[in-house]
Formats: sequence, structure tokens, C-alpha cells
Amino acid sequence: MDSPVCCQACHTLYPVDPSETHFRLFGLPTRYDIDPAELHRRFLSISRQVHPDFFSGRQPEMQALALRLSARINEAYETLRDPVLRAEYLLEISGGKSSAECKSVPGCLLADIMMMREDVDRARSAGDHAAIAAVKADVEARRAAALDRIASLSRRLPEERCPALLDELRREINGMKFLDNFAAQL
Amino acid sequence: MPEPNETIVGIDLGTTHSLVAWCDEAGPHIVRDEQGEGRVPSVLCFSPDGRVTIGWEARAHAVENPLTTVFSIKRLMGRGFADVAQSELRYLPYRVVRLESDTPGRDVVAVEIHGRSLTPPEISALILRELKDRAGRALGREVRRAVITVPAYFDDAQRQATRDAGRIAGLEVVRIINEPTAAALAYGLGLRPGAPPSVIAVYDLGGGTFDISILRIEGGVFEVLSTHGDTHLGGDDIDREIVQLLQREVKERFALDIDSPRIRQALRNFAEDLKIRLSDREQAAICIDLGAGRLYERTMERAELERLADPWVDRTLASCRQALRDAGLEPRHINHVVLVGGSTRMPLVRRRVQEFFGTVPYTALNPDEVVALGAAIQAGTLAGQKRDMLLLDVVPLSLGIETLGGAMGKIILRNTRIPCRAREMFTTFVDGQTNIRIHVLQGERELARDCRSLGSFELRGIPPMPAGLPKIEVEFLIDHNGILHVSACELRSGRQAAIQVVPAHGLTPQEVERMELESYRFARQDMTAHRLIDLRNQVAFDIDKTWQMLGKAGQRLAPEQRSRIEAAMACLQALADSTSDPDELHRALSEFGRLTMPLAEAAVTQALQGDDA
Repeated sequence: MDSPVCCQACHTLYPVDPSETHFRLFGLPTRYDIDPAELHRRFLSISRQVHPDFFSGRQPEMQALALRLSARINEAYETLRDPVLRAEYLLEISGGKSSAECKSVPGCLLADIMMMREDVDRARSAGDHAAIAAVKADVEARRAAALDRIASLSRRLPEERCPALLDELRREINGMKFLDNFAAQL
Repeated sequence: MPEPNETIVGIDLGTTHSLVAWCDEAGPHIVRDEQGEGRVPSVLCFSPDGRVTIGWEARAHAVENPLTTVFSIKRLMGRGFADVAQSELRYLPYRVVRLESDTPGRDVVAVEIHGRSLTPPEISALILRELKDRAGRALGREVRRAVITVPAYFDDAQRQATRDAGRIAGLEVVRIINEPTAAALAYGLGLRPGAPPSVIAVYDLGGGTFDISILRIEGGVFEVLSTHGDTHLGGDDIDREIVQLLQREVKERFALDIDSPRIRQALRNFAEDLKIRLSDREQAAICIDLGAGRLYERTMERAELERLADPWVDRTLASCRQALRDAGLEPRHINHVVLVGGSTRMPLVRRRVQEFFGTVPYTALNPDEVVALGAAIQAGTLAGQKRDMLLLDVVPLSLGIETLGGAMGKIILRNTRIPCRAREMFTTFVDGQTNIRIHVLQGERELARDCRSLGSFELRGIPPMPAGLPKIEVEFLIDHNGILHVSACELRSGRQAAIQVVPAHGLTPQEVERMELESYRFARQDMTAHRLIDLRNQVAFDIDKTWQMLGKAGQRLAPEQRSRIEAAMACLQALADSTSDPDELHRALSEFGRLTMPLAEAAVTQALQGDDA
């Protein structure tokens, strides 16, 4: 497989340039749509080449390199397999703002969440399980819709890297995080 | 430097029992004693003269020596005194103290025996050394490298303590692997070429710890999806319930408090036996003679034991639910369930696990041995550099740092694949500040004080700059053993910042080194003691044999020869009773052998002539 970390013939590892993208590590094209099974297959295949267990008898430098490479591969895999993290990563390598630089969310999402939170508090103290379930269903519907919007915006990357697109995607991802946090509290 | 293909052993360092195994082309083998028993009780008995007995003998004499017999030391590994005092202290008959330390902010637990403080890694090292020696005898050469298993739910401090124990025992710990993962390896599930991927749950209820791991296995890759557990929940807790029941009933019936260290130890053994008996039978008779004609008698039904054990089993199933949630799965997604640990022999545990997962658990392998077998398989892989199998594990607990206001700021979330790393930026708050102190935590709670403290470190040598200007990048790297490494770099100057992590409940590298040296001295004393015992036995045997020969062939010797031998026997016996120098006794034995040579020859002549009747 085409990956820049290891020579398959001699099991020698190469340090990875920090600028190497997660996509290139797995030999995948830089785009949002990924076949999860293919990604997993590639992840296992590279892990078989770089995992520190296969270098336990080698020189300490080689062991240290295997450790770092494995950590890098794991980080790349965890990022690419999750649709929201993948979109956020694609956003960042396309020159978009980080979550620290831009904290805004779409429209009146925060006000909506605050209202849903009040609904849940009221329903909890009244023991109204149906009302809680209704809020849960609402949150899930909003997350599904947000994920759809994130996916369709991300599919335009990295080619169309206009600021408006990047900022809109940033806001959608920020909003998704608020929804996730709220869902975790339910 | 060890040879590349030198045998690496696999060690299951358990709360109640430990085992050692090794692997060759034929597969893994447990090292067993003459009786075929592979388990070595993790029990140590210290005598006042500095000798230590480990294993079945120590366990058998635990009742006579409650204050000098140490068991369940694994429960104290990597923990602080304050932490242990709350949960364990009441139940341990031996003396647990806080190790005197010159480092402020550190709290290391120790066991005090005969006025000497021993840390849990030092005590575990004695068990490891015993296993190392056993394996060395079985293999015919010294063992220097080992894979050691730990509960999947062990935190960084507990893992480090285990690794330190290995070092103190003179072992290079090439890998620490999680017990459930080892068990999955031993079952070899999914190793058949072309086998479809399967998802398995490993339920591991040992003497003192509980783990649940969910794994996906495909083509020789063992990928842990999630893990959960409780490092302080095990068969010991069920024994404790029985002990408390007995104590309560004895008090009610005879107004008698039975809670001295010695009685507590006896009751513990009794409770464990009772629990094991009730795994095979529906009821068991209890009869305890309390002296002065007071006889405590009753029968216990299995159902009654199960009522005592049920809340503990509930807690394990709550862990199972959490592990499934973290893996994004439902019980019905689990293809196989593997049972590990002696406590899974309880019919109640089997029944409830089967109900929960809706599948009959695998029990083909001995639940006491399966972890050691898996460790040996992994050791074989590491020694032989084979590539047909791969373990991909996760970090069991979130890692973070204490932020302003005492909150826990998570940096690496639980169930993240290891090795993994995370980087955090730090800066200064005061102009010219050259040090930053960072407190590292592990756990899931919101507040720093509710999480386990792994230690703190100081970033030093920051170039003096206005506040907020220095940019220090700290890298937290968790290796494939689940052990944390911290490094830091000041980005403006490009300088590596100096870091020394002061472990909150652990030992410094210098202490481990000193303990290793001390343990060699300890071992040598031990060896001397063993040699003396062997030589004394030899003396007794030789003197006995000489008396027999004198009886049979003494008439063939000249009278002065005979009296010289008799005098030498008295002399040798006196030396054997008084000396502590094995070399001196060895010399005396050789001299005695030379002196009795004429008698031995006379005895042979006598026997050949056949008139010894």
C-alpha cells in the first residue's frame, strides 16, 4: 500500500514530516467521503508495519520512532473515522479558522438549546418521561440535520476554499459540539 | 544485551495467585511444581531473621503469622496511604504505613514488617523473583525478560508500580499487557485464516480486581474497542461479606467479638473455602469451635451466598453496560464471552453473565491460567518478532491536568487507542516567570480532587519574558503499555524544557535502582539461608548414615579410628547448630567425608561379603 512511513521489504521506519496530512498517511485522496471499511483495513495494515511490538528487539531510536509513528497513525485514524472530526480536520488543512479563533454557531442554536434545557428541567421535576423523550428526539433530529449540512459543505473542500464556505462550516461544527454536549447530559 | 531469541516469560501477577509461563513452537506452557500446580499464592511470610517464604507454605501458615504475612499486595500497588486508609486498611491484618519521604506532596504506601518498611513494588518484586527462579529452573537458564499482565483498568501509577516491581526483581519488563487482552490471545479466537471478524467480551473477575474489555478480532488483530472495570472489586469482597456475616452471628449468639488479626486471617481462609465449596455443592456445613464449649454451627445454602454476592455481581454488570456504551454496541452484538479469573467459577457469576450477554460463556481454558498463557503468547511474539498477531489496546481512564480553579481538564479521553499523544500549550502569568507547575491527573470526574493524582512536574528554565509571551508546548505520550511520558519544548527559544515528574504515589528512578540493589542483597541473604538449610540437612543425613555404617561395619575399624569418627560427628553436629556461614559448614562436611572414607570402604566390603545380618 502507498504509505510514506515504512519500507515493507526491510521493516525500516521513516520519520513522518509533521506537515504530512492524515489522508496521505493512509494513502487516501484528500476528500470528505471515505469508505470506513477501507480506512479500517488500511489502518490495520499500517499498524502491522509500525506498531512498537514489532520493534522490541531493535535499537532504542527505532523503538522510539515506532512509538511516535504509531501514536501518529492512531491519531490520524481516530480523526478520519469520525465524520465531524474528519470535517473539522479538512477545514483546518484547507485554511479555515480553529475553534479557538471562531466560536460562533449557526443562527439561534444557543437560544434553542437553552429552551430545550428548560423543558428538560421542567419535565424532570414533573417526572414527565414523554416530554424528556420528545426533547431527546428533537436533539437527535437536529444532530442528523447538522451532520448532513457538515457533510455537504465538506464535500466542496479542499478545492473551494472561499472564506464564506470555511466560516459556515466552522459554525456548523461548533454547533454540533454544543448539541453533542447537550445530548450527553440527557 | 540479551540475545535476540532469548526466552521471554509471561507473568500473571495476580492479587491472590501468580503464574509464570513461556512459549515455544508447540505453544504456551505454564511452569508447574511437582504436584502439577501452576499457581503460586501471592502470599509472603517474613521471618524475623530476614527470610521470606512465598506461596503455598506462606499461605498455609498465614494464621500463625497474621502480622508478618502479606497478601493482596496488588491492591496497594501505585496507591497512596490516604487513599488506602479509607478503603482497605480495616481488612488487612498486616501493618500498613505511609512511607517516610523527603519529597513534599508525595504519598506512598508501605507495609511495615519487623520494623522495616517495604513498598508494594518491593514486595511484588519478591513474588516476581520467585516466579523468575521457577521459570529459570524449568528452562535450564536464567530468565531476564518478561511480559507482565495488569488489570485493564489499572491507571498509570499502578502500571508504573508494576514495571518498577519487575525492575527491582531484576527483570527487564519488555511489555505490560492488559489481562483481558491476554486472555483473548490465549483463546486464539479469530486466528484461523479467513475467519470472519468477531466481537468478544472478556469478563475478568479475579481475587481483587474486575475488568471488562470489548474486543474486535479479525485476521490476527486484537483490537480493543473499550474497557471498563474496578481495580477494587473481586472475590476478596465476597469473602469479606461472608466474614462479616460470621462475625455478626457469633456476636449475636455468644456476645463474642472475633476480630483480632489472627482470627480475621483464619476467617478469611475459611470464607474462601466455603465459597469454593458452594460452587460445587448446594449447601455446606459450618462449624467453628470458639473454645470454652462454644460451638458455632450452621449450614449455608448456595442461595444465601448468592444473596451476599449479588450486589457485587451487579456492580460488574454496570461496568459491562458502560463498556458496551463506550464501544457503541449492544449486548446482542457480542459473538463470544470469555470468562477469566477464579471468581468466575461461581455459578451465580456464570448465570448472570450469560443472561446479560445472551450467550453461553467460553470456559474451555482454566480461568486461573488463561491470562498467563496469553502473556506467554505475547512474549513469544516479542521474542520472535513474528507478525501474525497484533494487539491494539486503549487507555482505560482519561488523562488530564489540573486547570485554574481545581477543575480536571481532559487531554486524552478514555478508550483512546494507544500509543497516543496530545499536545498542550502553556504560558506564564507573571513577567519574568521561569517555572510553571503542572499537575497531571487520571480519571473521569470533573474536579481535580476527585481524580487520581499521577504526579506533578515543573517546567523549568523558561527564558525570562513578559507574562504570556513564552509558548511552551508539552507533549503527553501514552505508550503501548499505557504508561505516560511527558516532554516539553519552549517554542520561541526552541529549548527543551527540563522535566522531572514527581510521582504522587510512586517511586523515583533512583529509588527503584536502590531497591534493586537492596533486593540483590536480600536475595543473597536468602540464598545463604537456603544453602544453610540444605547443608544442615546434609549434615543430619551424613551423621545418620555414619551411625548406621558404624553399627554394621564398625567392628572392622581400629578402636582409635572409631573414636575419632565419633568425635568428628559430635563436632560437625555442634558446628551445624551454631554456624551461620555456609562455606565453613561446607568445608567441615567435606573434611568429615574424607575422615569417614575408611568406614565407608569397610561398609562396602561388609556388604559385598554378604554377612551384614
